[in-house]
Amino acid sequence: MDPSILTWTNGTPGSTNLQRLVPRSTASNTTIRASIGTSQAGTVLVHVVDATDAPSSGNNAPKSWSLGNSIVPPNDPGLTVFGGGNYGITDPTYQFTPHVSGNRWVFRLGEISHRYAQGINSAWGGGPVRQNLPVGNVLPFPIGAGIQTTQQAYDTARSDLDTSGLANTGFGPSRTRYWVQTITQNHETEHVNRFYSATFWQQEMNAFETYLETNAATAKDFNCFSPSWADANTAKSTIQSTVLDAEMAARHGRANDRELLDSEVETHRITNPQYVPIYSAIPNPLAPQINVGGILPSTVRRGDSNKYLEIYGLYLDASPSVAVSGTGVTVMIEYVGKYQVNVKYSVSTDAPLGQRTLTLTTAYGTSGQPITVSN
Amino acid sequence: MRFLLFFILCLVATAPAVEPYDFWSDKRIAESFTARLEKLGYSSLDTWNLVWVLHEGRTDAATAAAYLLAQPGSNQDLAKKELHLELTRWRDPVLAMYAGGALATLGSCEWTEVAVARLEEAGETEQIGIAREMARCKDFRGWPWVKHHLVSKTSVDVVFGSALSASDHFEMMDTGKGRRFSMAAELAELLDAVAPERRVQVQRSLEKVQGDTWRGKPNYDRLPTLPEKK
Repeated sequence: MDPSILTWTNGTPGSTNLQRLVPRSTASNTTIRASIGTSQAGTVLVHVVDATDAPSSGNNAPKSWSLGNSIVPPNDPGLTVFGGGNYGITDPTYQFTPHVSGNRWVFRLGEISHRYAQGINSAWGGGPVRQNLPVGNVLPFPIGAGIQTTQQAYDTARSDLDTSGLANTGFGPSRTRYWVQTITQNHETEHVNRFYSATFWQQEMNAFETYLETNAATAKDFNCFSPSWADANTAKSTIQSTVLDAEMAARHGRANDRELLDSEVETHRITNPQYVPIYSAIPNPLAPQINVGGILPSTVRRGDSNKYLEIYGLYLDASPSVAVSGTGVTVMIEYVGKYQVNVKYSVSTDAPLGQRTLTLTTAYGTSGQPITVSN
Repeated sequence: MRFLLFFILCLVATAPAVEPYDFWSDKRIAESFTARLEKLGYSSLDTWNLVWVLHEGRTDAATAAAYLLAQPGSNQDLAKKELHLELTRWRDPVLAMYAGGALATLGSCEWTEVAVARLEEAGETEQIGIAREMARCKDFRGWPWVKHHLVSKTSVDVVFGSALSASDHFEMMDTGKGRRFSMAAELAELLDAVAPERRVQVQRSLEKVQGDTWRGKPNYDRLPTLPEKK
């Protein structure tokens, strides 16, 4: 065919008249028409798309989280909010880029970031303002709201920070007048550590990245006639509004659902033991003090029956009870004085030999002293 | 004032010493799941509508619906039937964990027969969670998975902690033929098996096993062994 018989519409001349060019410098849709005379013609629509090839996919986009809003929780000593719109906290935001692969749009994640809300409040539940007690034995000891005496302050602080019996329950100590601000904050921090861990949030965000980059739902054919898929920015906007935002909400919610069931038990498991040294250091001057007086006799014998022990010390008379560790020794209080408690005891003939602990408990605490079982 | 948080993690203020925290009766969780469904456009949340949400296919909505179906005020007979149906479909292990937990809360435990056969295919935290809900139904057969994550040197702290929390729900259970599953025996065995830095936590759990004085070798008739990974 003689190329000179072709007449072109649109485009620019190529190296021969069989060739027609469109510029690649800007995105365009150009209809090229080749005519022979007036009776024969053909057209082709050439799309120039402003897009780049996609880099390789993988769970390698940065994923970060940070404190967004500081809050004052009204009903709890501490609160961390990961979503839902309250306190201005929403689903994670993400950056991604559109690319072309073959005749399809594909997308690559740039980064994910999320902001949570968190705060602690010493006056939760309508107050009172709790006294901060970062160290158990301070002088002068802070007097909590409504407390009259130092002894009441000690007792209240001990009760408020007592975690005995709370192991694995999902509860923290009561903190009615005293709290430890740093531990309350630590607890909320543990919620953050746990939620955003590789086991929960990061795992779900990696799944989101895989979805965004490789799932068939996000690989859309380029279509210059569609208002949704004709150019990169529109395709990006379309995939975000129709697919990705919902997927992100579902993934973020799923991280929550997976993490939530154990959350309180696990975070208290970590932070409750932090109270123990502070609790133990709170002075307790009215606790029984056997050690200043001792126990007579301090050795009991197998076969002893209804004999007497005398316990001497201080602060012994506040509803005392007494016990001996191990088996074979029974004890019963016969007399209670301010500085002396008399105990009737019996020792079975087969009681295990050796040292035991005699424990005297009053309303103010417990004291133990060694006592020996011999033949 | 209505508490409309989508989801909340907070420090609980008061501490009844004997009654542990109950996720399934925490009103704040119910409120957060209600808020989630409202945000997704579900306005009426009676039992029939919750059932519809449960089966609709959107997992994050279905988990919320499962939780709410276990709350007082739902039509319990209908809830049990539909939760069991959903669990039988086993569309998603997270949803199965919530459906199973809801059924356990409602006192319906036939579902554990379905779950025990599907545990292997669940992710590690879902294995633990489903086993925990099975334990609430007095079915100890999820224990091998929990035990696996307690003993495994590759369990990260979060997974180990979840497994330890789950172990709190296991207790001495009759296993038939005069045999029993002894949690105390299991934990005593675990003391020697877990990483040294984790023994204190296992010891703490061991001290909480009430009324189970068995400390010898496990004396259940036969505990399923952990399936080999294919």
